[in-house]
Amino acid sequence: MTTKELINKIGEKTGMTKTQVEQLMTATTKVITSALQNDHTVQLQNFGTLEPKERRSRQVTNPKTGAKSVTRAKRIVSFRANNKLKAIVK
Amino acid sequence: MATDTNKLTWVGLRQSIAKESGIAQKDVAQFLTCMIDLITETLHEGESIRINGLGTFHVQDMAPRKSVNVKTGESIIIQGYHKPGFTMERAAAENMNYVPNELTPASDPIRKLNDQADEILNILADMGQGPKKENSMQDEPEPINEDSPIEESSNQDSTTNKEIELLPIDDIQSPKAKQEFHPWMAAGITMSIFCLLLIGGYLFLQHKIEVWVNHLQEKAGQEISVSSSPIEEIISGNEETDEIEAIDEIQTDETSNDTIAIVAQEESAQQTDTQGEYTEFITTEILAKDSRLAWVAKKHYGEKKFWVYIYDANRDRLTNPSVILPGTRLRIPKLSKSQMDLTNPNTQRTIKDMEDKFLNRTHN
Repeated sequence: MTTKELINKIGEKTGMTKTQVEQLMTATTKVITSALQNDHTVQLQNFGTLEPKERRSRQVTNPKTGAKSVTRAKRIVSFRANNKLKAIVK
Repeated sequence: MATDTNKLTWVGLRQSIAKESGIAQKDVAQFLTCMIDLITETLHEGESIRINGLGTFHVQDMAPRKSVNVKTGESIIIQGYHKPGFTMERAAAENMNYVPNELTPASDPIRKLNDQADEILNILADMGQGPKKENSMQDEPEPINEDSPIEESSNQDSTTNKEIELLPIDDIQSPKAKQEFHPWMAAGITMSIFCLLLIGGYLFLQHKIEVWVNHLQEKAGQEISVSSSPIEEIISGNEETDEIEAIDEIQTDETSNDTIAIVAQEESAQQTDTQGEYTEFITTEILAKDSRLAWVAKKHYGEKKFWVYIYDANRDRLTNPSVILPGTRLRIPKLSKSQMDLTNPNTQRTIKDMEDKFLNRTHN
């Protein structure tokens, strides 16, 4: 499912106009991403939690060549599903 | 880890989205619940869902696996299940790793240089394609007025065919611009080349001229001394002193060079000395993330200033004292008492010198 389909379906369900839904969609993604970038955890009701985490650098080996290298430390976003979502998806 | 201030909960999300979009909170809440419901639904169907600007929510199949009940020791089978997951969009994920400039001080000059190089490349590209770009820029009516109609027509005849293919709108103005631009370009290039040649020639010949002048002066001095009669000896002597002065003047440059060379030699000697001394090592240290050489020095020697020794001993692993790659294995050299004696002015000076040298080198 793509964003377009999602927008159409939300429009059908809520009765909002398509432009309104699109506006809300962009605002939502913007708010969530900027919050994550600023090290905030985002909790979505009945769904799950998006949490920024630090990933440490570690030594890895290229299985083909056997060359060892060090990965860069970076920040990632982890998603933890809510129990409700887990129960539904199962 | 996450405190309440670091959390964006349902209410906060609703508020900030309402603020961002200018839509009433009630509608936002409706939208959000609807969206979450729809995403859950699609995930339930086993389909993944992509949200532009954020990422993809997907379902992962977890196969059943064997495990052991820790309490009883029985082997059990954990049933397979579907695990909801999320991958962030690449652009957003890269933004997560945006590092502020403060954290990478040493890369700044390099970045600046890169920018400058890019600019220069752009300028060169502009020069290379100069006429074409100028065409698009000079769409003003001025060039038409300046040019005589005869030239215009002749130019058109010669070049319109080509120009029409490329730029059907600018076909009347572009050849003129080309005509205008070319002599100017040629003049500029020739001028710059000429200037460069002049400077090069001057620099090349400067030394030779000096040598030649010296030679002449010496010759003159010799002739005078040879031809000098007892009466003229005084004069020649004077002249000789002048000559010596002149030679001295010339040699001062050389001597100053020599002193620099000597200093450099001393430095290199110091370097080799210090490097030679790093035969014993206390330990090796694996650099953690966001570590600094100074901190490592503080940890092992109790003094931040001694980072220079660590850097010196690990120059094969470190290219730049300010850029520290996490996971680098550093050898911590054993320092003699004299090296660690900060009350000794000599030690202070060597440390200062090394510091300057390493930091200067990185700036170059």
